[in-house]
Amino acid sequence: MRRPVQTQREGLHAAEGLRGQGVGGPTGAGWTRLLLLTVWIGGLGAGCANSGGEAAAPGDIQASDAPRFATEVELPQRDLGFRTGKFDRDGHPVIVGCVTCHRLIGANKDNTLAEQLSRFHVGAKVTHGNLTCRSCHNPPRYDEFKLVTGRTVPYAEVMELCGQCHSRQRADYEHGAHGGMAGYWDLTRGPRQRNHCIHCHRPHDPRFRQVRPAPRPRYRGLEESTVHQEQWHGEGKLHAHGQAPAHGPKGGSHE
Amino acid sequence: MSERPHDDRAQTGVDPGADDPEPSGRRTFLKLAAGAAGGAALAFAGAPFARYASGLSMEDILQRHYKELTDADKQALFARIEGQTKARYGVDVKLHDPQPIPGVRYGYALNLSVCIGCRQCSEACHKENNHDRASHNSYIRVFEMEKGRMDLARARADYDHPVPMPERTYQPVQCHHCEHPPCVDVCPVKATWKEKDGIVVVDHGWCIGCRYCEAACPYHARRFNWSAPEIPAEDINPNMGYLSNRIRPQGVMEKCTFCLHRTRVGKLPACLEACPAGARVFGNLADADSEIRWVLANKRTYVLKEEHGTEPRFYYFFST
Amino acid sequence: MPSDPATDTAHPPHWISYPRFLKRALVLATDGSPLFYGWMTLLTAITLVGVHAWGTQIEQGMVMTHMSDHVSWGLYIANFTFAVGVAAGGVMMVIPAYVYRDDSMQKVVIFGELLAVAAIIMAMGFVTVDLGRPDRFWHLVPGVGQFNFPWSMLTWDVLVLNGYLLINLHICGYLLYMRYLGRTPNQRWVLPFVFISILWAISIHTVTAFLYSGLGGRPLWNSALLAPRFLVSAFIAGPAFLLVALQVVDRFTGVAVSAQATRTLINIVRVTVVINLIMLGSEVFTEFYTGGAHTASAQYLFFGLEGHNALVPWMWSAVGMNVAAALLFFLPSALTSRRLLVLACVLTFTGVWIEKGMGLIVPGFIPSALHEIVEYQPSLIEWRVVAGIWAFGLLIYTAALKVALPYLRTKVPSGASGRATTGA
Repeated sequence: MRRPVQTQREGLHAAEGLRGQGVGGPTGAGWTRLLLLTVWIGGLGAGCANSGGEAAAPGDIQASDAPRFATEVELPQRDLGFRTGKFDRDGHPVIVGCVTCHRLIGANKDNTLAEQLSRFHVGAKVTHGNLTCRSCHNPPRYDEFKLVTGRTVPYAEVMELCGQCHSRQRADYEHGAHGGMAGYWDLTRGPRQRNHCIHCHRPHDPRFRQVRPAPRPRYRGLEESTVHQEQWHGEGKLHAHGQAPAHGPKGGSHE
Repeated sequence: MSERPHDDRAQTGVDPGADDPEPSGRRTFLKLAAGAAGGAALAFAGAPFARYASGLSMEDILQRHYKELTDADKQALFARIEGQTKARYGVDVKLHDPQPIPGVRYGYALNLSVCIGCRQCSEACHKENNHDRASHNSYIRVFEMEKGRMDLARARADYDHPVPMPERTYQPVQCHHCEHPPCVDVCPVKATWKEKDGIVVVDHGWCIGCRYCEAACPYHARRFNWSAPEIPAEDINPNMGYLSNRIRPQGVMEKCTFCLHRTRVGKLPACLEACPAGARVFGNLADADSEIRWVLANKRTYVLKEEHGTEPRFYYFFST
Repeated sequence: MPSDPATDTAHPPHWISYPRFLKRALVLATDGSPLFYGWMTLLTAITLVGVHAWGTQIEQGMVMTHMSDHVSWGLYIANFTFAVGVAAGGVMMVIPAYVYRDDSMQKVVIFGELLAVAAIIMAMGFVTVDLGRPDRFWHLVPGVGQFNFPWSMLTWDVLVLNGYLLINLHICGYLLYMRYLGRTPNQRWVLPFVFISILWAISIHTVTAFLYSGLGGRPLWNSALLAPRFLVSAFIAGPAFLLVALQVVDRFTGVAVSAQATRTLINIVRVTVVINLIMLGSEVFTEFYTGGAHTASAQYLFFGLEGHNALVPWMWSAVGMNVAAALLFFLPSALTSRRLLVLACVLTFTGVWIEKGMGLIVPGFIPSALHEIVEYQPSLIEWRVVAGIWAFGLLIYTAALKVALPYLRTKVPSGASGRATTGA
């Protein structure tokens, strides 16, 4: 039986450790690392209902009851906050936590769009459909986000927020059909690491960015390639850093 | 036996040389001189063969088919290959021979709605499998198709612009590890076969390099070592499988093996790990709970060139 | 005076006379006029160039050729295909001689069988030089290696080609040896093998065609008409070569070739040239009327594809040569004018070589299985190797004729079969 990667009811005890950690000021080094999935031990019988509804076929093996390794999902190497675009002495981006200002300054409830901001994060680029700031942000608790039901989730569980609208992608993700992974296909033999949604889809500008592809194939046989090279003049813009996001949890999208 | 004086000509005189004059001394000399010149020319012409042969050991030449090797044979063989790799490439490598996991039949699926055509899978394959650097060989080829077409005949693999372009579909193609592989049927020496876990492998120590399999494959999945691979020592992946990514010799075929040196110990193939978009799904088709089975049950899937009856184990699907 | 083997106790035993026969053959093969020496020296030189080129290819790898993972068979397999056809066609004379009891053909049958031997050796040579690992040739030996019979058509090809070589070596060797001994050949050792060789000739080229026509991933080849086309073009190329060879023999050796034999061969070629063109027309119609991606290879071959048209002039030249040759063959003066006949033969031989060799093997790979277009032109090393093998084949054929001709000049008494086995 394959249970979803992340559920509300799972003991996300590690999430508690995040509260009050690293969101109150410029970050130094430091990861935000979170283990979201617990290890199942024993008792995974074949009789459990599976979430996909695929019928067993002749020739199928019995589900193994060997202990399974964990699947880890790391949040990107970034603390919750607003990236100023500046870098500190160690080269780390200077991130300003929301509460740094909003502990003193209230959020202007009349602002619903980024264009209406008058101070500081005025240049925030938000291209996430028709969402407004308050669609997701949850003043005065800036380390939490609010779901459509009114319940809030901490930053560590923000995949829940993505999944409430993008449920199809979320379901695909949970079944290994969306979002990168590294490690083992056979979880009885080793662990697995998965990307977080916001590794590739930055929350304010989630469209998967263009990258420059790896070099094209070389055609041997003749001195000059006689392969027809059609020059397509597309509308895409080149990503500033020009690199494809790396696989696995350690690679991340970046501003 | 005859009592008559014996000569080598037939008695009825059919020997037409009977009336020829004795060959002159000059003619004989010329013949001998020509023979000597010819011998020298032959020695010169044969020199490259001698050089090539000197690079082969007797064990190389007499090595038997993989399926005939005992464990002791394999130990000796792997040690020899490790020594040859060290000598030629300057790297200590370890050759493994992972066996198929019982109850496993591999399947691979690729999400065409998600693939962005970045070719990271192709790069990862190139590095993982110790391919020749000069030719930048890879078992994976990524095709770009325009909107409205799913026709590989109008696709391009040599695009060189930022990806993904809007309204283009990207389709990587590699070995499909077919259930009915044409390459296996045509090999004259049984150097390629389908293993119990579905992987179609090549015994690089047995292949004679006739390239019939390359002609037979409908998916352009097989590659030939036109020269001995050239790889800098620091780029060599030392974790090698005999049937997969050991550095192949010149003149033999090779192909995608679903990274069996990784997958047979439970790891994901290199191409899947490299995919930043998570377009690839790999697992055990015999496990009803696997991700690959979920994809096949819940997504629109199809295979390439289905009409050939090859029954690939590499599927393409869409998100919706 | 005829010698009766049954009662002739004065005759040395075979284990003595056969080596003597071989030695005599060697002497005959290396002795001749200055023109002969010049010809043989030239052929030897070219052969050695080819040998050296092949050695270089083995040492440096097949990267020395211009084949690629897209076009993975090229000049070598093209020539292999053609050579098998010539070998099959060489036996075309055997059918009128033995099946139709055409006496005039009997005398020249040996030319065809010796051509078959030389051509099969060439074909085996072409396949060997195409192997990436010729040092692993022993893997193909049944019982010693792993022989994927009956699934792989290449294994069938190995069996039929070797069998054909042995059959023809036997027939020629036996006939020449008997003549050396002055004895009448015992038809028991000839006739069954001759009939087998007729069937076998058809099988070698059918099997070779099946190598290609069984591949579903190559639409240009995946046609039921491929094997018949191969047979028909073999029965052009073989007789065309033989016609030229007979003219050469007639001109340079003083062995007169019967006009009747030549006429029979010309009549054979007249038929096969036309059938070949009809079959070509059938292929062209089926490809171009249907259209679609499956016909891209034919499109590439005849008209070019997306700006790539390297083979177009070749293919149209081949078609033109075959048509021109057909017309020439039908002229009455083809029977009388040596020059016209040789021209027609050269035209059609070359036309078939192009059409069946480069014009079939290479476009089968263009576009590739994934519809990429990578063109192919042979490298210098490939040309050298191919030239070397052709020279070697001609060397064998010339030497074989040189050995056979003296025996054709003389009369051997008729045997029990009542057939005169006279030289022309």
